[in-house]
Amino acid sequence: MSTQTEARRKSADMSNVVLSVRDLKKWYPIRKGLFSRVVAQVKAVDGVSFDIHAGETLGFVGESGCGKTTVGRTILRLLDPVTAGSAHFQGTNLFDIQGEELRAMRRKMQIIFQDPYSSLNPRMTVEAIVGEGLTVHGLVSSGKERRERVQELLKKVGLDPVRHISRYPHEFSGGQRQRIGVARAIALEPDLIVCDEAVSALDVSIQAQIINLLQGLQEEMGMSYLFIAHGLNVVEHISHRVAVMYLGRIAETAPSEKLYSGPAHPYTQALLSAIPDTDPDAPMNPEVLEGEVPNPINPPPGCRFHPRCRFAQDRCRSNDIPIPVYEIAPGHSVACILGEQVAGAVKIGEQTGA
Amino acid sequence: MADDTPLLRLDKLSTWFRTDRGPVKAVDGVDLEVRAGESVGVVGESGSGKSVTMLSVMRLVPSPPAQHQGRVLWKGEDVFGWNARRVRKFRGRECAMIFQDPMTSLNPYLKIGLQLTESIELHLGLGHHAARGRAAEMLGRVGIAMPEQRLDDYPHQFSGGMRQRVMIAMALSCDPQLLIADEPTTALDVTIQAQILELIDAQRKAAGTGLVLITHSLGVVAGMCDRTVVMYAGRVVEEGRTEDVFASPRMPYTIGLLKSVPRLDVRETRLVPVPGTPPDPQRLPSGCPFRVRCPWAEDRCAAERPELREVQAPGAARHRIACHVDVTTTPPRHDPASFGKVNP
Repeated sequence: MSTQTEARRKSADMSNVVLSVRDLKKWYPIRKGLFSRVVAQVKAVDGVSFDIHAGETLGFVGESGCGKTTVGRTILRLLDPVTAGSAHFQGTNLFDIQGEELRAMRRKMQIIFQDPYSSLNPRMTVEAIVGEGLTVHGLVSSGKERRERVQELLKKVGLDPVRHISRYPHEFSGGQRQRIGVARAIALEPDLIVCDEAVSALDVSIQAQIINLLQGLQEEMGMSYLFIAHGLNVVEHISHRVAVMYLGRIAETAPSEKLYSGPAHPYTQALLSAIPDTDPDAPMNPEVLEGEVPNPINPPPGCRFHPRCRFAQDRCRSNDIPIPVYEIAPGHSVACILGEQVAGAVKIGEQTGA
Repeated sequence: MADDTPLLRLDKLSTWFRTDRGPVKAVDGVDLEVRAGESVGVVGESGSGKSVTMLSVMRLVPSPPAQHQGRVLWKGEDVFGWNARRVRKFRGRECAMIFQDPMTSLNPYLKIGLQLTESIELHLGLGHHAARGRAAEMLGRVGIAMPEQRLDDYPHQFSGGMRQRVMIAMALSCDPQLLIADEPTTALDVTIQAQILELIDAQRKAAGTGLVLITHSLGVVAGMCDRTVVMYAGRVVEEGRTEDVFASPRMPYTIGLLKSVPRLDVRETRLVPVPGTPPDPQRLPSGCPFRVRCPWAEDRCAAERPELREVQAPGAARHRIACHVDVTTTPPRHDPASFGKVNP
């Protein structure tokens, strides 16, 4: 491991938990009929727990519909109300606060969206977009001060502070627009930024530029990232730890280098082998996962992955037996019965059936 | 047909679009060959002209408003010289295309069975009953359970991955000699992508169909294609055997692309991105269109447009690049980090 990597690892302060989420659930009711009776629930997020430390990047990966975006938005209180669970941010439960208290908390948590085209108001200039939060939170006292702050921020994200500040979003390319989105997110010097597929819509050469920008800003400013994406190689690259989600639950959480070298959950293994490698000599798809992700309205009983799992046993298929969660190494946990076979595995919890 | 006549040959193909701000050259002098049974990957970023090139081949870019120059030869016959009747025979029967978005390429009002049998009846001259049998057989081959019943379903009753399977069944139903797949898995999840790629590969190999795979994913090409073509600003900038292009890329743009992709098996601290942004097709730089982002750029690159030229490759395989510089002997002149500044 290079010294730079070590420095990066050290930049994450593992003793200082910024965000602690426990048993988070977000269900969407499906209503039918004259009295809008609730006939079913879409269990988008169904019992998710994790911690993010100061200066750390926690990646969330999974296929479409696994609930990764819902996790990020629920924590930011963009999807109220939450069904169950808690999210303690610097000691305050985010789901308990309202009004002024919530507004103050929002200063510390920002989001970068996937689509740089629709997430910027086309009728606002760059100065207004990036500086809006500064004005709302009263961090600048004059227009001149705001302009100077915005110029500093543009410089930080690699845009031209003089030429770009009075332009409109349509005058920029996709990569540049995402830089504007980054500038807006860091304007209030937040402690946590949720990056929701922040680089997924960009071309590879531009994607690498934005990834480097986000890493550089983290080293400089020390904020934590919740990095949500479906591209496992991107998540593995940028994150200190990665959580793999499947149908509303976390299947495995691991330090990112461990995830590649020793994936413990069968789903993680399948996901890794499904990613096309840029090495033409690498074997193509040694293990192709069959079937598709089941419907979250009616998820399979027991372990949600069992219909597609090569190792599934009878006890995986029943709601009567909870799925154990094992810690198999420091910071590496897996929600699978196979975890018990790993030497030194300690059971740290369980996921109950649907 | 002599063995050395390629199935498809593009000879200096250019495609322009007329716009209010003047003509835009989307495809600029592309030379390309596909032989029977061969798989060729065309990679490039958005706007590099990879899709328009193949749409031009299928005569799906109407002219006017577009203008074509150069030739597209199908087994030696000029595609642009064909009448409508000949083009219809070409599309679907001889050469089939799969598009990125299976939802918008299927008609939501028509049952899958009707959409499948339409081309089978037209091209293979089968009666309705026989065509339905053939359609069901194709659905079964692409892994759709209970194919006879599913013929009476509408597109919305299929998931994204299943719809793409239907598209593949449709494309292969008339045994085309060449299959053009334009980003066939970009809209799909990785585990579904793996299923679809494996399916295309198996079906194609079984029938000996040629394949042109258009994608922005280098990983997909590495796993699927015999040869790789890299496009930039409407031009082919590198072409060679896939193993040569990936193991020893010779064009700075290809080198940059490969370094931009995070690798799972290598823990790199920082990626080395291609600096800058792709050029505006209406204001291309003089000479080499990549020179403003290129760490190797020298004076000659601004003055003179580099044509595709042969370079030495292992085993005397054909490897061509459009670049003045020999990156194997010349160190980069500029530090990539120094062009971090972006100019709109």
